[in-house]
Amino acid sequence: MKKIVTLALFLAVIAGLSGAALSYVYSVTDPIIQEAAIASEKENLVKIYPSAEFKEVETDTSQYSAIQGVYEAEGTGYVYKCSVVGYGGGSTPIVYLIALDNDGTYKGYEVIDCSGETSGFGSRVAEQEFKDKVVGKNIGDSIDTLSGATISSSAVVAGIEEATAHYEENFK
Amino acid sequence: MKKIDIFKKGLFVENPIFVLLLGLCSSLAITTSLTNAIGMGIAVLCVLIMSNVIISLLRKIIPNEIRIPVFIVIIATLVKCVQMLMNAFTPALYESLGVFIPLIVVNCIILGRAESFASKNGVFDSLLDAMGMGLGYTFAVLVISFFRELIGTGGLSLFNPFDASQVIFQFEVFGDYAVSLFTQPAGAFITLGCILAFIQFLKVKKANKAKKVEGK
Repeated sequence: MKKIVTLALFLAVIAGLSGAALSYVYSVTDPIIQEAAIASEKENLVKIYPSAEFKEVETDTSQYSAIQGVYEAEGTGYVYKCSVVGYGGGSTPIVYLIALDNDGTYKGYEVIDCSGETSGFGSRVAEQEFKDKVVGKNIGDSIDTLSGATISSSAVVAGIEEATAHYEENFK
Repeated sequence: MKKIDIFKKGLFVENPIFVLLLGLCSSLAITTSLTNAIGMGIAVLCVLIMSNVIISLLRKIIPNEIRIPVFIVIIATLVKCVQMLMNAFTPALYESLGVFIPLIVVNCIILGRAESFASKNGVFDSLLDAMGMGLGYTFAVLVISFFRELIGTGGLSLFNPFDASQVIFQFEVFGDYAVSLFTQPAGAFITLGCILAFIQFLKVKKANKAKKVEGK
């Protein structure tokens, strides 16, 4: 009996030491890993907020299927990364960023990937025409879809609505 | 055994991959490019050195009954540390090696050296053993990946593992005649098989020579 306890204690001490070592390495490397994750996103984020400091927001987005990530542009607003299924199907979703500014408007809209959409039709969600329909509107206003690209643009609008709902719930 | 022999045996005579045939899983999977092979080799080398040293230091106080779980905990901790460090400082390499970094935990070279060497020998000897075995592993995966990348893509390339955009060298020899089978797992088996056959050929030749000398 005594033997078993000694063995168990020994293993527990070793495991405890290894846990301590791991938490130390984690605390050193985690900020660098986070920064690297944001850096790949950053080249798109700066198109919307050229001079802001970005921080990834830890938040529960399980209810919002379109939202992939939330970034805070410190002091000015929030940028949502959304992925929605357009005409190209689930394997090639439309991925875009939508910025909700603290002044109550949609500040920016940048499409990262719409390679699955039909060129000249669905791909118009990445063009200036649609961008003008979004940017500058007040948060919560309805956004017109594009005729001729109804499926793609409705999907994008639905994603924006999800981002808006999340914004109203968490940051207002 | 002389110190230098402890170091040297891992490189050739007891090369973990080519002679002991240990740790084949990772060595077959990651040898698609020289860059991967170097990254994996260094990761295994680091883990092996640290685990051998730590286990050798603790060998007198680890109770014999639970030595394997203790070894595994120590090795798993070290691998996780290496994994986090690679994720932070060599993200491109981390991406391309993927699941094979955490799998170093179950790489039998490391547990094998802990059990058969570090738990019975002093710290300095264990360090030498780890360096020999680690470099032997690195050498072996480099040889395999050299042939696989050359035949599979028709050229060779090496990137700086700390910065994927920095190319150390890159050239193409016969791009049009590349056999892409060699970048696939089947190609890994064929390459390893041929190398093992070649090593066996050398061994037999040496043994025959020795016999002849004796016969005279």
